[in-house]
Amino acid sequence: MTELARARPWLPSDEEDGEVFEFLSFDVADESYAFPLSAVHEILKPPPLTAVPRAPKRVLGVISVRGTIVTIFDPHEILGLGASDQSTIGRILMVDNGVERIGVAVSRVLQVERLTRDDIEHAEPGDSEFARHIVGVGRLVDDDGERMLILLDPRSLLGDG
Amino acid sequence: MSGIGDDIQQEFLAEAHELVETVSRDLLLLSEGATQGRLDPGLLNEVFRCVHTLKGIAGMFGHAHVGSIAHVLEDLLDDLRLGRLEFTQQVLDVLFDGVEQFQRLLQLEDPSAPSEEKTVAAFVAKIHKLAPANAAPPSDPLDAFLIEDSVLSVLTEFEENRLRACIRQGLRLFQLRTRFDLMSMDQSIDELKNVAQPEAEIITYLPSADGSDGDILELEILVASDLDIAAMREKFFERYGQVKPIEKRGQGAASAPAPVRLTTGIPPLAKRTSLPPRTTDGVAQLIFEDTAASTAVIANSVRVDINKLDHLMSVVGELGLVRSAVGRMMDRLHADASDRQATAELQRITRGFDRQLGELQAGILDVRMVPLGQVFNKLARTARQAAREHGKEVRFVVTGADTEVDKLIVEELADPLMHLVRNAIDHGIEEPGVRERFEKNRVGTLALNAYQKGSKVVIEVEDDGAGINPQALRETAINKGLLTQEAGATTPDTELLDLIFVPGFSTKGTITDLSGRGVGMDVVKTNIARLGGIIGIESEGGTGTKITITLPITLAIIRALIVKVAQHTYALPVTAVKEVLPYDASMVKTIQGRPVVSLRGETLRVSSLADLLKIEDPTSSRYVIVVAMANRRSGFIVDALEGQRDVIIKALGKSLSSVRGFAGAADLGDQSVALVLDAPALLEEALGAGEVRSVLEFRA
Repeated sequence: MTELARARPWLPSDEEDGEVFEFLSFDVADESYAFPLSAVHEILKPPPLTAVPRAPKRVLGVISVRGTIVTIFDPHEILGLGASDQSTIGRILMVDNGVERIGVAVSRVLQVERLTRDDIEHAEPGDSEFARHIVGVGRLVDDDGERMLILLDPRSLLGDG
Repeated sequence: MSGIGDDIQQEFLAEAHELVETVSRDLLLLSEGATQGRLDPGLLNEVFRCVHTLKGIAGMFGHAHVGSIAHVLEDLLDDLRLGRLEFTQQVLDVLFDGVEQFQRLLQLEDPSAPSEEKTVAAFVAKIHKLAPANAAPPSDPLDAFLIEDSVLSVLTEFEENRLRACIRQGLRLFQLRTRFDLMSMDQSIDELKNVAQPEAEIITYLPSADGSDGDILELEILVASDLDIAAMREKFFERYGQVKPIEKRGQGAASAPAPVRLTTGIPPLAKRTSLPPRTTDGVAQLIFEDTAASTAVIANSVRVDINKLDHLMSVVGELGLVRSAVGRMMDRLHADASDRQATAELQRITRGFDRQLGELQAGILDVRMVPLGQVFNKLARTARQAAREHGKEVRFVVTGADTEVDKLIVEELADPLMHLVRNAIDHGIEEPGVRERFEKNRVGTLALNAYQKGSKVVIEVEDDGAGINPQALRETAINKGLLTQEAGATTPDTELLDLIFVPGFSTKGTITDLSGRGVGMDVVKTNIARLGGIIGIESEGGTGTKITITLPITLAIIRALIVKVAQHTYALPVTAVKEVLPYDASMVKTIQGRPVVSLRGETLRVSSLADLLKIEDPTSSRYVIVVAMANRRSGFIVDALEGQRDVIIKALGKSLSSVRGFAGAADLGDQSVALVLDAPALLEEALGAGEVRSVLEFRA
């Protein structure tokens, strides 16, 4: 098992060549990203957010999901795409970040993408502070030509730091 | 509804709900009696009366749907009461269905919505189908006995029917002659009825032709019983005088014609249940072990609108504010010291006042506590229905129905518990045949236990059914992609059970309209979480499942003042709020560069809540909330007050653990969440360490 795969066990390892991995793709500010499908528990229509003063910028607010208070994160801030506009929130993805269940606000959810090991190019540990959230790039070829999908690691979306 | 005030509608709803609850409870008792072949005419009458009243008030308030259902049910009950219709399981089902219909309609925003017309019409049609085809019995069982015409001619239709029913059951008839004081006659007759039950039934009482004199009335009482004359004499003679049997026609009992039975094609309950239970295949059996749940008689109680209680609660809150104002006055008098004796006296009085106020507060909280039995009654009905639909035999055992929790919690518990009960019967308890094959009692047991444990209330829903097969869980989890093959193999069984609470997870292949209904254990868990409770599951394949719910009695519920700053809503625990002042910019002075206001001669540091929380939106300062904890106090400027309400505090996520100033969040309903302010922390921040002294100095 590679170093990377050990750190991110859901990521395809070398031994599993040829196997198909499922990702849920979504748009944030006109760029397409994806979480491993297994990390996404639920997709919600966004209820009104309650802003939390004093919280870090990447926290958009809190919502109540069936009685539990859930913190909603802004991927714009996390990925360095500039400030987000609340009106662009189309869906909230409920994901586990390894500590708790959180929500990630996205513009829209696209579809489930099936990638094989060969379709995934591991990202080099970058210098940018945003790079730690990105674990790879998926290349998809379909009728519209080749598309790129930035694969995110939900575990890096921790509250602090 | 146009033209009718909300208050009046509320009153209708409250009364209607109460009537429906009574009907439901009595039907359960009737159903219980029916399994033992008894039909309590008193209960049936009670049901009839309630439905009749319901029909009346529905008409008065213009709720046509409720009215038409009540109307057909009333007719049906009348037929039952008068023996024109046999009391069968099928009829019971329809009656229970009626209760469901009422409850459904009463929960609608508009119980008279035209969209309900179809459902109501279908139900009415269903009842019409049950109506007796031919009311007249083929021959009159009354002919079998030598009852004087003078008696027969004055019997009411109901009494006559009871008499027929008793004779049909093969009971003996007796005549009792006794004398009662006119003044206390009602009481004496009630007493007599009590003595008679359950072996004997009083059919009627008539004043005798002779023997009455002045204040004493002699009654002839017609009694039916399966006791023989000797037993009857023993039962009644000492207190009520002579008892004589009423002879049958012909030469006595031996040659009397066999009682005639009504035949409607549906076997009468009395007959079926007189057979050993093994032959009751496909018929659900429901046994109540703890009568507390099913017969909870509400005596010595009044019905109070919860809004009135809320009002009282806020009045008590205000009283606390008044108390602190008095305290401040006292401090001033103390400092002044012109009349020490009066001051000491005032102090003594205030201490007494404090004690009483504390008790009043505790008392009001206590009034909000209601027994869980309220919700357990509903569950008994659910259990019965579920058992019937699935052809399962279930013993429903309730303990601890008198355990009390806050009303808010009881209300919110109904749905999740109902789901658990359905689940247990649908998926847990096996069919009677299957149980026998596993050498289990063919009657499954579903136990609902409630008890208090410290400041928590524990509710257990336990069945002795099939349990949950960990292997099935494992397979489903892997199939649904919740677990990888490897993880599935290594996850311990106890952890696998928790998968039940994951949305969309279900192990049983078929989804029935019972537990199915699109909601699963995840919703149950959510509802319990919303109440600040936790839910756990234990299960062993083959022996049963136990679900344990642990809830706070009241602790997580706090009274909060809802305030607005810009467009943001916050909840502030009222215990920290001393008073509220209208804000006016001219009030504010500056001392050492810090804004203060003068409050009854004392200096109070104030700060804008918006500034403190770093809210940048424009504000319109309207009120100063004086917050005090221990010896520190400070004023917070807010835009608007939105009243007080009870909220349940929920923890914020771990991601926000480094954010100070909030004690949690509260779900205000309608998807709106308010942050609960952490009063001590904000006070600390507003005043800063070491500020207390400087504020005190300014006071001097």
